[in-house]
Amino acid sequence: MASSKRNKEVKPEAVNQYRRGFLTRLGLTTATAVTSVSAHGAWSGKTMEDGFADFFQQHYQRMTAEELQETLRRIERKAKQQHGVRISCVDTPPLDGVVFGYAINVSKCKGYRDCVEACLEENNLAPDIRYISVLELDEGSMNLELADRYYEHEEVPVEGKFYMPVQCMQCDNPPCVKACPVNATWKESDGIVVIDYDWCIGCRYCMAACPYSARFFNWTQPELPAERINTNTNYLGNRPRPAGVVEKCHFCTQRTRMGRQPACQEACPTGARIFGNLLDPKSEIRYVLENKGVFRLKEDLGTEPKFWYFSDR
Amino acid sequence: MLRWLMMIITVATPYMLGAEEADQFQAETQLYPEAPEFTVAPRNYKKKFRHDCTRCHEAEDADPEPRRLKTRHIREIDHGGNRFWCLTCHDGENMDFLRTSRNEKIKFDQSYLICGSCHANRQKDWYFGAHGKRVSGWQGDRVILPCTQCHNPHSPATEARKPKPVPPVRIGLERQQTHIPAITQSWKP
Repeated sequence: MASSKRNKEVKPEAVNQYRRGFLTRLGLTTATAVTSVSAHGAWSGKTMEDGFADFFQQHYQRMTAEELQETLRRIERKAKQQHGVRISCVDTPPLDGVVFGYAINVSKCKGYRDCVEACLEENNLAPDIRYISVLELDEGSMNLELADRYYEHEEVPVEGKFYMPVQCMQCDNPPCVKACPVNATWKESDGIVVIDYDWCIGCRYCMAACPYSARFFNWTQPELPAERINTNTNYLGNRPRPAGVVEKCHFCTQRTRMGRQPACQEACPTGARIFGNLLDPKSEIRYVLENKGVFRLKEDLGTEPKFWYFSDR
Repeated sequence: MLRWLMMIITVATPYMLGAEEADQFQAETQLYPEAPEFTVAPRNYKKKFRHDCTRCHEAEDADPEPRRLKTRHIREIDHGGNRFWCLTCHDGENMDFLRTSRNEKIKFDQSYLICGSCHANRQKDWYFGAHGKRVSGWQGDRVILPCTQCHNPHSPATEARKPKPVPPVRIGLERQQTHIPAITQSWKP
């Protein structure tokens, strides 16, 4: 009985029909799946093209000019789709003959934290990240372990305390750059240590390597309300960051490479912050370095920070 | 009638004379020729400092005798340890001007020439950029704030005020008891 069933003839037309039907159904199913997937956010809301382009995006330093322009447009589209804001993202190359340096007058810093707030607004920071910490220390002491960055007073300055803002020191010999296993962070020719947020794998080795705790990790997708987003952004600067990458102070590349002052300098009400070009002998920063008693944090580590402190005394 | 006439003269005179007189005077401003060039940003004062002194002093000369002032003046001068009197800095002949210790008549915008007569170190730092604030970009024209923009000349100390909000504590970095609590229970077999 079984053999008769096996020997039952099947017409070739029927096979063809069966196969054709199967292929049609398969094609239809795939098409529906792809359509529904792209509509329902398998590419996190992006088009499939943008999703692929994101995946195959090159390292910043290896991108051609056209690839970079495409990437910048894609970043703008992503910001529109994620945050509902039309931003402008540009890539500003470092200026020739410029190395940036920063000096803070600790006698003049009164601990108002205006710089911290300005940085938060300028750099599209996640609500729990601050690039600048203003440390409150006892007068006459320099023990950073006893410093309080969460001081809460009715009025500052408090008698017997002094204030010292710390942020990324833009080291000339940056240990974070050496620690990065994928070259996602490097020192630019103007001395700013930058991060390619799209190349960062989020291993946080750089955070462990940084002796100044100046690097921060985005554990989640930063929640940025549309009205708080600064739309003037830079690829290596303040563009909205994805989750799972490290970020840090970049001397406001979106401002300083255009000749402007960093946001923290602009916000400082006491004029304690002095920013400028270290290669210009007539700049304010050079006068400070040549005529004031300056010091740097953890100088003995050999990181060569380009961030100095001085006092009026 | 005479009172009305006086009032009209008092109000009108500074507008007729003040502007021309201000342009006539040029003081020696560049004390440090090697300092980088700068322009002083216009003062942006709070209303309480904006007095039109000549409104009254055009009709009435300033009395050089130090005394406690009553009408429309700043009562307390918290500067110079009670050694200062209005005419230490202001010009007694024309109250819309200042007068340096070298007896130069200068504009309100040139107050840094007066401040430097006591605070010479600060003044030098200001010229070279280690004191004060540059309001223009780090590149290009150097526009800096005048002394009196940040320091009220009648009470120059920086005012204490409430700081901006405390930064949030990141997860895992909350303040914890740093020491292991001492064992209070005695050991039992």
